[in-house]
Amino acid sequence: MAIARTAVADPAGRRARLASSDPKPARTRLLAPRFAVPLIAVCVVPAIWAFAADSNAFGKAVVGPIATVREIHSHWSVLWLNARPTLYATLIGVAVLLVVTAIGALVVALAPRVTPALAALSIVIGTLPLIVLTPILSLFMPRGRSLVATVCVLAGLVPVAAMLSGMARVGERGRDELGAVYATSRLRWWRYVGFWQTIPVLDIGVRAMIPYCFVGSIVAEWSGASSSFGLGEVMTNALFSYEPPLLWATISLAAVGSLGLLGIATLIMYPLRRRVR
Amino acid sequence: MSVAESEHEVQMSIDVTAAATAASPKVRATIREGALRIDAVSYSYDSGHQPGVAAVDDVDFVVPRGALGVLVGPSGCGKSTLLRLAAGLMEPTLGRIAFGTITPAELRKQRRIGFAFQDPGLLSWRSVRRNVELPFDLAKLPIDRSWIGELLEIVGLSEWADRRPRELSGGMRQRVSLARALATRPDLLLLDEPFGALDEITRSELNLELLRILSATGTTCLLVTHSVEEAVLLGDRIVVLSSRPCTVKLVHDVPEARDARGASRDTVAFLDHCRALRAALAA
Repeated sequence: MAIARTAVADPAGRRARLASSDPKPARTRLLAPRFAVPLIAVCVVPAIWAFAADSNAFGKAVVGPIATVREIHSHWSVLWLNARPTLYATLIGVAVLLVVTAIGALVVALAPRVTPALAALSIVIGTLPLIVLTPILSLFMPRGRSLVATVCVLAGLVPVAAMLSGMARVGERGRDELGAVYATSRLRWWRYVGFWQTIPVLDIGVRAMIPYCFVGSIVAEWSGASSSFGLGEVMTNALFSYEPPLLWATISLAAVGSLGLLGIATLIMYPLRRRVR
Repeated sequence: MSVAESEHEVQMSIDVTAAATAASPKVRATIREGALRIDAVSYSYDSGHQPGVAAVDDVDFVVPRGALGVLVGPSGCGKSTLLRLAAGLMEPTLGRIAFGTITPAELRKQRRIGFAFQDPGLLSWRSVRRNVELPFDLAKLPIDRSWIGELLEIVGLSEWADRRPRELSGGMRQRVSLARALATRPDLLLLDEPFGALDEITRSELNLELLRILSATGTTCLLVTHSVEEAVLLGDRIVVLSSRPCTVKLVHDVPEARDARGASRDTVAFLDHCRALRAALAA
């Protein structure tokens, strides 16, 4: 449709260029890898999982997907009771990190010199094993929701720092030309151009950050940050009391929860992503 | 500058100004502001392991008020650097650049420069109209909606004002970029190969459109191009530059009236101009 309109309003007869601007092949090329990974995740992984369980190659340690779903169904009340505090801590962590992102985005836009420090911070936190954070922090903080949320925030800081670093670079694009021609202040540039330019980076960052936080909460619970409930706690108990079906059920639920959170993040970012497409 | 050159320059500026008499009083007032003077300008920069790399060496020319100056030269000779110097985006190492009585940096601070870059760089989240309005947002100026409407009419995109850049062809994007550069009614318009990526037909159309717009607005313009034909078609004054570090090889004036140039591409005079430029480039 757009092509036909272009041809009418641009009457010089640029047929060749218009033909090459047909968006369909490029779109198909883009969609193929985009759907390939989820397809593999949804179809191939459970198939391999079912095959590994049926072949009995790993003994009774591997419980198949159907048995796992049954286990989730039969233990739903226990699993949900434990999933709620994990989700709650994750939401606290995500809220804190969204505030950090908002402040950080402004800081890197106004003072881009801090950007290298952010990249370094991302690497430092990323190389620090998440599992050692809980014992270190538990020296100073009481076990419970606040400790889980703190570890969750630290886990989410890795993608946030990387995202801010990327945003600083992308947001500055063109400022030395168009921005300089109109003697635009940094804040003004960020408001009208920079922020919008950074949306693809923000989108990826937020989508990575939310599942990261969820995993951070589970790891925190696993390593003893939670005093009573949590999916990480259930995993630890199931492992040490040797209940593979419950362990697989918890892991599967955590995976579904992580995917769900990714879906929510994608939905939240959709209007912005659509606007800058 | 010799007396003859000065007289020629004055005559030229009078001709160009006369061509813009149809423009509004505000435009006529800006025409009187003055010429773009590049006065013995040199520019060098520090490369990673080589200090003081010369990009521009003792370049000296004048673009009279309301005229269209064209920079022609081999790839990488420093044409774009010269344009950035003229925009005040960089400071010359030696020499002086002035537009009338003020420096480009001052002119830029007063938001009186328009710059169309090689890449149109349109913002995908803004409509065509909002893209043209961008300079007002960036320069913190009240948006002159009637002028924006007029500009879109001039570049033939008023029907497309509410569309996004992704719906436009390459030529249309370049026209939006041109309209954006003209949005704040600049006194000095700088164009860095704005039609470089276009096909011959679109390019030719836009060349004539540019001449029409500049004649209507009376804006002084400095344009960079690789094409000798484009230079002769558009330029009132053509500056041929040598390879890096660029020096002026030839300053060539095209005296033919702008509105007659569209039909003059096969004339002897046009070919003579092209020949003279090619000879200077090859020398």
